[in-house]
Amino acid sequence: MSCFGPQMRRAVAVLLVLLSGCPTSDRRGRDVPPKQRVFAYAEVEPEFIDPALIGETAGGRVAEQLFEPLMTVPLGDGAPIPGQAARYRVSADGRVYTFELRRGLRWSDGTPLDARDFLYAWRRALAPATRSRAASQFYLIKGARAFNRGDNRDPASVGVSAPDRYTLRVELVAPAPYFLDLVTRAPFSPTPRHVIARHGAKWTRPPNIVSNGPFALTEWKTRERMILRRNPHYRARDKVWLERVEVHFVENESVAFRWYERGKVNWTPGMVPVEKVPILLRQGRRDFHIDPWICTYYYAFNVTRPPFDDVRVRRAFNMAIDKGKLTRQVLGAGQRPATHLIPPALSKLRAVKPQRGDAFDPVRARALLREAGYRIEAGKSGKPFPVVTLLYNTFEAHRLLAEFVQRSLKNNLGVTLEIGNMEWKTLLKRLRAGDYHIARSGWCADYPDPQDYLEVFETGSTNNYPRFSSAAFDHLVERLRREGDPAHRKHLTEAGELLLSRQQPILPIYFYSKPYMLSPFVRGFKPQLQDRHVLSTVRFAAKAKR
Amino acid sequence: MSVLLEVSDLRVAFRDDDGGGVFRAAVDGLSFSLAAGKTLGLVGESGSGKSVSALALLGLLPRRDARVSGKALLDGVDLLALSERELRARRGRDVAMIFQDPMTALNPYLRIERQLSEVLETHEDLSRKAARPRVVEMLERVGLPDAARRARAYPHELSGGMRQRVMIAMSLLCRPRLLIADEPTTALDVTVQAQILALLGALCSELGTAIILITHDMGVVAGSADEVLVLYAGRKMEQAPTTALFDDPRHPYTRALLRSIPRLDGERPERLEAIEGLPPRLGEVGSGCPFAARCGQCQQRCREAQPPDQSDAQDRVNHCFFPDA
Amino acid sequence: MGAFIARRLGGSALVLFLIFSLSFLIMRLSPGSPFDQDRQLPPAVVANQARVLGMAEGIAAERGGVIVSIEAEPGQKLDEGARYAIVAAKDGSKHALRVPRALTVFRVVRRRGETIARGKVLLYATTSLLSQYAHSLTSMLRLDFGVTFDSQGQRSVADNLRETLPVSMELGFYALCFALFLGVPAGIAAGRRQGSLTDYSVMSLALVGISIPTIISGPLLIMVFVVKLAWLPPQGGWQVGFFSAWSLKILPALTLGLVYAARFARLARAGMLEVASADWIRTARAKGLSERVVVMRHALRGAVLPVVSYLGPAAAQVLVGSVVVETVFNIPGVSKYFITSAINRDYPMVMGVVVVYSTLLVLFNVAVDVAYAALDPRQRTGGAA
Repeated sequence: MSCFGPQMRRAVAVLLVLLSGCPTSDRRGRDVPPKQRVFAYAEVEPEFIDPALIGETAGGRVAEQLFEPLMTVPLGDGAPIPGQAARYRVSADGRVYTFELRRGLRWSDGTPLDARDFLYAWRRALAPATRSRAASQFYLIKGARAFNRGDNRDPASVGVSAPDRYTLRVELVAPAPYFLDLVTRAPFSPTPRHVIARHGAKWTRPPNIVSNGPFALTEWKTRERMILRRNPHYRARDKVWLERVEVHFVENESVAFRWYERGKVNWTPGMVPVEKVPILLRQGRRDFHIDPWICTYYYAFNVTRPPFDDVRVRRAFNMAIDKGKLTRQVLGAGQRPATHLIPPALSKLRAVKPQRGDAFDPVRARALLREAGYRIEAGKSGKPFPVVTLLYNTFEAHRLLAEFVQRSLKNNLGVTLEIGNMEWKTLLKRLRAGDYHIARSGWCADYPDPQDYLEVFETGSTNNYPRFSSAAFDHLVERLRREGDPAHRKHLTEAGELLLSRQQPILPIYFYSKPYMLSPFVRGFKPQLQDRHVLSTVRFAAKAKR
Repeated sequence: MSVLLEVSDLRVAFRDDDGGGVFRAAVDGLSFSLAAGKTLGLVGESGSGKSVSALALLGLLPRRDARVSGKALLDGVDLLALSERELRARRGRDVAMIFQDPMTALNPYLRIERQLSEVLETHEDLSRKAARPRVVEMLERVGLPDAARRARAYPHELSGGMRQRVMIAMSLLCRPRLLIADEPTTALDVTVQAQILALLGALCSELGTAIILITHDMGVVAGSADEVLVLYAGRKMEQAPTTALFDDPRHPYTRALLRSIPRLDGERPERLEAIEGLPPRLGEVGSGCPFAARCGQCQQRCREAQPPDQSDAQDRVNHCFFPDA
Repeated sequence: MGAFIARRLGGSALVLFLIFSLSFLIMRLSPGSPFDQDRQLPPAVVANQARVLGMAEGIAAERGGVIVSIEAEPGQKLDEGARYAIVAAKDGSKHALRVPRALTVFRVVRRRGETIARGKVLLYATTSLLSQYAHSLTSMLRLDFGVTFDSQGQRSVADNLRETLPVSMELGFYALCFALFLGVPAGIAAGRRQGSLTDYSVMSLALVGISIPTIISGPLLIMVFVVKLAWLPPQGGWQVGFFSAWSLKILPALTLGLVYAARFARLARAGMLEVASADWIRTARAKGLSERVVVMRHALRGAVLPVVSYLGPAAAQVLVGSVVVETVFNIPGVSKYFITSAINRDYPMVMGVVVVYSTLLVLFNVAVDVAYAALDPRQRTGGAA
């Protein structure tokens, strides 16, 4: 998940609000209860909505309203609930899932839908010709990786089959309790073979598009808006209260916020101007929300290069930074300070106990650095600490943060940290080449399980920028991957995180949050860790929520 | 012989460069008269006020920065007392002007024809089409070869001499009573100079147009003017019929000017005699004779008082205490 | 005149070719590729995507036979001449297959034990920079801009441009019109009366206009006209079509045009002052022409020449400068692609934008040159006489 797209927009938004300064007195829109069953939200225009390709937020959100996979996300956080499937069975070893589809399912054009549509969709997502960036989400399925790589060109080699029209059988390479969470994701949706055959790449454009979810897409005006109408053939059409969902495209938080204030949109997911946040908090606005989000912001230490090949130095750096002060002073939009890797909300979801690293403690930090053989005060013994560089990709917020860290290290450890910014892809290249001391990085989970976080730091993982390598840790992750039992998984996860907190290949900074405005008249909407909301549950009430 | 132009006590002062309220005199009480059809040569060094006097007569000096007073009667009408609108009606029709540099005096963006025809459009209310034959005819009269085609050309497509012919044609289109020619040949080759002067003289006597020929070159006035007026620092030094002046210059300044022309006839002088020193700057003339500082015959009296107008019976005017010293 | 235009267009083609080649090089030589995401993609996925961009090509076996072993993995980098497979000929002799140049393997399409004929593809790998260039250039010449990488091939570059370019061009057109119609008369008026109250007011306003960047003037205008006075609706959307939905278009056009109005005013004033002291203006007055004719016919043309010659660069700046305005006003123009496609290394989109924009700008500059020549006969060579 990319966190770098909105930089430009933010920079502009900062100025916009700094200039406009005073809060507006315009309350006409948002205080009036909606008259029609039309729910509108503001978001960046998706580049594409073909569920087989989905990897980005905006496209995923639309696809989730249009397409329903076998399982679907519940309202709020919780276990996946049946969607197009009526029920499922898991084999004793946890490697075979058998889904039984509901009867009488139809596409929005009335064409019947059955297990073969799923078979087609999953194979399509994996086929090399589809070139899906989401294909790796299927790699848990037997034979999926080889088929996607083109090593095996027989689609039947993939461990998915439809023994009859209402059954889909899936064979996994390992027991993965989070597989059901994966199945709720957009790439696992069925896709209409009859439409794709006729329209090719243009099949997702109205009026071509046909879907099976609560809503159907009737209008897509580029750079302006999308209109979704209730799907008359949806399996639970009677339970969908809304008649229409509108997506208004916006590139800039300030515009989204103004739309919300005027009542043009009811929801602005992730789109609140950062400078408005303190004002909204001070006003105690009940329609302003900050939800936790499963993303962590951290600095990667290059553990293969002195001085950060010494764990004492890494820990000293971590302890020298007051992250509570940092989140309050530099960020101030509800972000949580981090001393460990896995976001607490995610740990809570899996009943895992967070394994915290060292807290802010400049005295111990100095002691550790001395112990590592470095001279802190002039005149004392030890070698001088070398000048090291912190790299970050060009963005105002990253700079402010880096400067705070720079000051902290100077004051608390007497260490001179140079900071350098560069364009994103250049930083990526240096990260991958291991050509850095400390660099800005971060991680967002693809599926709500801590395993996704731990796998990053496996030896040889492509995203293991610190080049951390521990046989014990690798062993833990390997066991976790094969483990199906929740209690065992909990222990393995905790052990893994504890090891990382001790070894500190990263300097955790903060856990992301997701701010948004939501109309007080909206019901049937709950915070969700992955920020996934199927709007079929949304209603409007006559009274504002107090 | 009827008097066409009667200028009396013309004074022009310019606002000082610093933009303040101080005005400095550039022309200081100039008087002269010109008979119809005659040519008056106005001679002096640069900065002596010749061009300024001419521009003042036409009302072409910037109003904010120049103060003009005195009288200039053209056929009994005081040009200096006219409104801008009345004056505009006379410009180009009764009084025309030719400027020094034909390279820059013609609009580079307009065709020759257009620049000529607009004179007729303005003063004779002709349409552009109706003006065209007159334009071409006039261009032929000034000796522009292939005039009908050249009329369609832009100024930069013509040589300097051709352009000055065009200027002459433009100024004479309405058969003006008076033509002011401000250094009309200075920017031209020596061989072309004589042709242009001859053309100017011939055309004007044909049309009965009087000329004020402004020049710093005594050689130019020698062959063209009926009468010469020598100007120095905005004041008249000497005025006399051309032959009389050349034969018997009375003012020391006139003599100095005459010594500075190369002689085409006779023996060449050892060297061209330039006048030593510089003319006084605007408004820095003291109470005495303005030429006193550079004059070889200067005496105490010259520095103290202005020499009076000393006219004689032969239409000669001279402002010097010691004319024959 | 025809020869003049032909000559200028010929030069433009060369300029375009150079711009294309340079942009191609800059794009390909800058670190990272479209495949480098913040989450590294599996090599197989990268290989599948690379084909879209003409960045993958097949490596053919230089000998036929039964494949005994394959020593290449997706993602692996091979030096020139490195062995990637061994084949056994019919007579049982074994031969090594070697890569013709340094490359990165995307995908291996044959397996051990298979029989491969000579010249058949065994694996796909990165193409050389030169062949990518040739591919890109020939596609451009066929006016085929390809599909965008950011949409994973779902949208073509032409689609994106078709939908957004008219918006940006319309905005730029309004901004330039506004700048011309406000700036030039104001500058002329100021230049005619140097040092007057008009002059001082115009020049002070122009100074303000030049000093305030669009990133500040835009939000200020929104603050006043949308938020406080509520005379105009909040921004959003744009309907292409002249003089439609003007309430949405007026503020962005104003914001974008303001700076140029100020610059045009200064240029027109300077032009006017220069022309006013020209000898031919004195000639025109000496001819007895009215002040109106002197200004309109004689002075104006010379005075606007600096404005005209600045139109070319101004058009370029208006188009590029619209990035800020389009962001502030949420206008669905092409500017979005300027930045995101470059940051994401969406090569086809970047090259599409570069080629289309530079073509527009080059054509515009030719048009300006032609206009200049039409206004100033001295610029024309060959002559009219």
